[in-house]
Amino acid sequence: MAEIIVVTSGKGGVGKTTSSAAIGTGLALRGHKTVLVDFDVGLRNLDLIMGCERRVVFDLVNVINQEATLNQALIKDKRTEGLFILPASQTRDKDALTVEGVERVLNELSEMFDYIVCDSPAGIEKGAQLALYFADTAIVVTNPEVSSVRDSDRILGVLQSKSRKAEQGGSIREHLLLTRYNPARVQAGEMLSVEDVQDILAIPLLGVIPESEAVLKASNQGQPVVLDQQSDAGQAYLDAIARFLGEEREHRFLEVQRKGLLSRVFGRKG
Amino acid sequence: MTSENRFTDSPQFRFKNSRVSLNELILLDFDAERLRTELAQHAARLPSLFQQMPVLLNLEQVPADRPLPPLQDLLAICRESELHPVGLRGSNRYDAELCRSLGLADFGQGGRGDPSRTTPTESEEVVAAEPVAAVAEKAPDATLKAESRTRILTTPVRSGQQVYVQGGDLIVLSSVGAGAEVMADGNIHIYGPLRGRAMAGVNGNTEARIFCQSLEAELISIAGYFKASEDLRSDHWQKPAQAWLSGTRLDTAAL
Repeated sequence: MAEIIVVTSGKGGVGKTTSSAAIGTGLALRGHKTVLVDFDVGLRNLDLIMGCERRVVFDLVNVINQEATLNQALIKDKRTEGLFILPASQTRDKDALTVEGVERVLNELSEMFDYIVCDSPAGIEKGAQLALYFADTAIVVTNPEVSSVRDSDRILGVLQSKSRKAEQGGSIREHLLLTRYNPARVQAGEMLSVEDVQDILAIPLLGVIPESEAVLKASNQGQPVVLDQQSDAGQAYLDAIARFLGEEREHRFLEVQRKGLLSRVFGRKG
Repeated sequence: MTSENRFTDSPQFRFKNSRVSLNELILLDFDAERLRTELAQHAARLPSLFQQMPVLLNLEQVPADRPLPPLQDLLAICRESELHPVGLRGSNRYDAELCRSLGLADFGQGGRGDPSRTTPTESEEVVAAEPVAAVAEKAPDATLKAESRTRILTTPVRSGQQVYVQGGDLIVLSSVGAGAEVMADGNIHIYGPLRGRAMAGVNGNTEARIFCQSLEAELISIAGYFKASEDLRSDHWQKPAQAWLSGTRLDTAAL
């Protein structure tokens, strides 16, 4: 049985898809057979970030409607062994998803993979609820900014009340992934600190991803940022994945760096 | 809140949406003599409560095959015990015209006929109904347990979540997030930061208090009297504090 991970946030534009791609790729790099499922039906992006948009023929909605088999819809990643992508449909909307259909697809994927990473759409409506409904684990992506933190708090409430685990009286494992962190701006008081965010959300911290030029570059090149192992963001994601797999890693990139080795890739103001 | 007629041509009335909490008298069965005695016993125990307390007569749980008395007689029994019926729920047992002529409002079919609903004995012990402002919709048939109406929450109350404890206290061992709402008919204790809204004494209990480890609330309210965040940013802001009602003023003090 695979572990189902939902990458969610409530708020849009905080880095869910980037994080999904990075985490999925990272898990595969560590030798776990992983599939990335794009639940953002109608706003398909994961395939772009993964650089496989030209190979999309069938999608999640086709599989749910039994117009295609899973094997026809799954796209094998060319760079990373053991990584597959199940893209979303761009021409449909979230109403095309059904609880039964999603359950059937996830059950089938469960037989084939170790990890299923679900990239949730923004919001708290049907699409986001379906993406998290069957999850075992949630990675809540948050920016160090008040509205993002508030929306994450909201989605944590939804995880605790609207997921299958919650309905059965259990609970989903929750992790906080803080992205676009800029220690200089935190120091200047323009951004919430890690401690501020943890104080509000009160869930375990999986990782802090620094604000980095490498992320935008990676997205535009269709290459998950973890493959850029020189970059601070790539290294931070790899640390987070190691922690996810139970290893102890110290949190890095929390302090203002002196200009030096990392100055090439650091310091872009958002 | 009061509207004074400062100008001679000012209107004679205005409508204002207000939420009033009403106690329901839920009949579970009907036997005129037994109802009369049970109500009288109850009134003897809690005389302060029965002083013309407005009630909603709920007939939905009377078995359908049980004949009901003429509505006039039922009202008379209630009035003997100093209850003041203002409306009917499950009014399909009586002629609508008759209800109207007796001055009873029709509250339609409210419940799902849940047999675990509160017995009249329990619901009547709730403190007398009083107008309450700014209280969110509450579940109509929250089941009460006579043993313990206090509710203890061990996990954070998240943004968008709403918790209401009917007829008891609420204890939160964690935080109440911004955008979350906690309500109780009794007191509210929060052993963490209060960043959302807390409303104590929502059924009109002016003795209720709010306690928290760190006062960072969006709004606190007791029996409908409230203070918003702006007015709370005083000496106790982000410090352990309590709030209570002195007359019509909501006071806060350090703990």
